[in-house]
Amino acid sequence: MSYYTSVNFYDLLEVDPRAGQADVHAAYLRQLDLVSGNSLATYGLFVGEDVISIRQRLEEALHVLSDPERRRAYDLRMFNHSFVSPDARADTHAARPAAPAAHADGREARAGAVTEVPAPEPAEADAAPKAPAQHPPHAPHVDLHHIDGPSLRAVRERRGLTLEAISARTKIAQYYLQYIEEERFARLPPVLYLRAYLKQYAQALGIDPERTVNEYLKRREAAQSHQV
Amino acid sequence: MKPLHLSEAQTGDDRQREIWAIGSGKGGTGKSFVTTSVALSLVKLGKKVILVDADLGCANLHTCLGMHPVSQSLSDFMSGRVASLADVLVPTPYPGLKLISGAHDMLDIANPTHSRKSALMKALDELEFDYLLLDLGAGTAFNTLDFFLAAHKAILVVVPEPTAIENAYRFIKSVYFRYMRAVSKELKLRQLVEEAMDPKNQRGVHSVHDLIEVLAAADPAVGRRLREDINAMRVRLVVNQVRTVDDLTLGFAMRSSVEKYFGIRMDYSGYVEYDDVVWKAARAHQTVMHEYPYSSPARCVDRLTRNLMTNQQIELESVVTNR
Repeated sequence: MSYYTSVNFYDLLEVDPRAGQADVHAAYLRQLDLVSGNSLATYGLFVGEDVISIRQRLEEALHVLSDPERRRAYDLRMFNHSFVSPDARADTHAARPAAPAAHADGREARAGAVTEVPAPEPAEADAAPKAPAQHPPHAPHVDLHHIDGPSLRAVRERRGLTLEAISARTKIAQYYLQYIEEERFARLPPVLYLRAYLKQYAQALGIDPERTVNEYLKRREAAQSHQV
Repeated sequence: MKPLHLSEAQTGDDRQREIWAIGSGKGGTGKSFVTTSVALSLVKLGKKVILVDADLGCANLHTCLGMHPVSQSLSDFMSGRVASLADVLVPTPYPGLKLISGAHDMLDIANPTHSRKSALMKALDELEFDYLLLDLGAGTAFNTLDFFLAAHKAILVVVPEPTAIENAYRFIKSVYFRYMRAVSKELKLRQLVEEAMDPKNQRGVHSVHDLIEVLAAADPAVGRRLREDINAMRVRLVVNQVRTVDDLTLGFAMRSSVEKYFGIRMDYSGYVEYDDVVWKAARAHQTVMHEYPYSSPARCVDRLTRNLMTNQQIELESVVTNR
């Protein structure tokens, strides 16, 4: 029939392949709403029985993507590797960082959902399931044993966030975020401002702000004393 | 001679020269208001603009510009009374903007032959302009569809009402099916297209995507060409008379649905907020762009115009954060 039946589930729901459960569900409801018959946007668009098969397809997408096991199998079949589905663990195994090895498919990588109030040791929780073997080859491996520009970038990318999105959320100019990631210290603002930027950036990524500020500023200091 | 503005000097020889066609599935969507406002917005940017009232049969763009009926019109050219289109080009009260008035009260002109239409498009292309805006008649008459297809950019105006949306989809489908019919030179293919135009057709062909598949099965070469062409084409959507955030986000939902169901590309180029100044200006034979340049409709039109010029779209994020 149409692209509704031929595109992959992510394109069908218009979500990022790394989207969490909540986003998948919201996207499903949004698409379902569009084909419900009450939607102004699609008034008179669908012909005949097409709308039935589109709805079936949407349900199928939700059925697969809302279940971590099914989703992983689907990812592997469609893309040859599994995407990290960040907050999948939050649904089924809330806060059990002690046993990450039991879920070797990457869904233990709990993420960006915690933007406002970081958990007591969020960086630890984040760092816990990082043994490289547990991750599919394409999912960026993040080492939060130390925090520096590249590791901030790696966390951001694993969250599926663009600099633009972080900038929109934190109101920090995109180029500053980029300089932070690239560790172009000379171009960064004075410490007072940088501290605030790092804190906000860390919060947006869901990692420990205090640790981020301390470790990053140390790196900056080290680099500068090295230069002199 | 043009005054040598900095912007003109900078753009130099590679300045854009485009024909934009503006259509709508039904009347009353404010298509003529949008067209004249975009034209005035372009003029404000120092562009040389020609407005063509191609609503053959019910022309009234002159009124939208606060002008009296113009004696020379497209009908003089179409009937051969004047040799050149330049003879029916009239100045407007707005420097930089010229008008070709429509063929009013000439019912026989409303359905020109194909050769007459080609001659008109060629003559239009030979005029001197940066942007030429074709205000098409509402609906899916063949000549409207043909002008829509012949333009560089095809702009579709809707309002957030079921009837307008429904007819917009009918319009889009008609445009693409008409195009596929034109490309399908062979009788066999042409019959497939005509069959598909019937919504209750036996093959279950409802969308552009479906029809391409059917044609590709009959003739792979034609199928390939259609896929390429249609991938390169896009309809640019304008939502007029926006009153709520839901009205505004309608464009995103339409774009998403039409792309997935029809298999065509749509840009959500802009929206125009509803405001009484539009009605006030019309009553007073004024233009919103000049009398109320800081009103929300005028600012929306300026943004729309920029988006159309640069192939940009409304960003969902900018809308959500304003919510």
